[in-house]
Amino acid sequence: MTSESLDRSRPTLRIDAQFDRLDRTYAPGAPLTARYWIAGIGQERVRSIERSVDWYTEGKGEEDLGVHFFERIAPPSPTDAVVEGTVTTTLPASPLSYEGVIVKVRWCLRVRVFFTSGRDFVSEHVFAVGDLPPARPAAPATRIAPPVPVVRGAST
Amino acid sequence: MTVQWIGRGARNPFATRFIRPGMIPPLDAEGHPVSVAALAARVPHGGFMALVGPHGSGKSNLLAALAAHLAQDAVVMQSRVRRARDVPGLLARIARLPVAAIACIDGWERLGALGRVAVRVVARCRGCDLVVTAHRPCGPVLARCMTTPSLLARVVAMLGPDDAVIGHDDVTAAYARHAGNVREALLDLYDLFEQRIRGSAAGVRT
Repeated sequence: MTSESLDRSRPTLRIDAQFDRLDRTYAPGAPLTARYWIAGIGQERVRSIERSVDWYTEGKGEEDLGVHFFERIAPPSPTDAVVEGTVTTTLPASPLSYEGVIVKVRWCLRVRVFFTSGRDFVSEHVFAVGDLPPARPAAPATRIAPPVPVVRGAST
Repeated sequence: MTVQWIGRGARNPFATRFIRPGMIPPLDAEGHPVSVAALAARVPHGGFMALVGPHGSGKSNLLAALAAHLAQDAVVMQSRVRRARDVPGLLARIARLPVAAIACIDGWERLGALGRVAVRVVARCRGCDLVVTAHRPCGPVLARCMTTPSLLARVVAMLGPDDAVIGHDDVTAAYARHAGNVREALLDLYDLFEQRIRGSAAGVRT
């Protein structure tokens, strides 16, 4: 993950995105439009660009993911200093974004650039679907009183 | 692959997606990089080799890195065994491999005694190499995986959590609490990270 930043001879590749909702929060089933800009490609030749709208889980256990929208587009002209594009899609009803403790559900616009050299660069721009509140901080552990033993045959 | 992530809030660097096998470069017990190329050169054709070590010592991670390296020059199959019931599916996959392919099997002991014999026989018939992970020596040992507090500290440094959230003492304590099991220690740090981030977000330092 750090090989790119260590190579000083390469310009720093950066992908910026702007969503049509400033707070990046969308209602389930709402339309989404996002623009992105890829800068710093430099002299390296691009093989292809993939753009997608995905959700994935992140946490302590098994992971899951879903691809809601996917498109592979042709490489840009070598003379383009900045490559830009737009993604438009209608979001599904679920899953809703969630900031849990053990698992989180995240939606993102993902733009991935593949170079002819074999390396690739992926950029994830997170947005939210729905407005679920995040999980609350865990309360301090409390002692639970042991159950009162039941004595069979005892008369009261 | 270089990843740029732009989102709100803190991202837990100990989540599975950052620590699963293949995500962290393999390190030796002291936290120094392991030469995967040198290990790959020792995998014999038509042979059997094992990566041996206790739970959470980096066997699966080393196997993933080794498999990725070997895949540059050979057909490589990777399989993670969860239970003995996985044996029929695993045998079917090995039987479909071309000659001189390499089968990398994570969790050799979970195959059971009969399963292990069957896999070795089928792999030999196909002329395939077997590289496996095991807790105890079960044949020629390709590498022994061990851990130290320095190794965990190096892994945590690579994952890059904010020092103000997870400090050196937390790392040392997690290592001791899990008796050297680095995987469990990292999952422990996941919980600690969540606790502190959420605690600070709510104005409560836990």
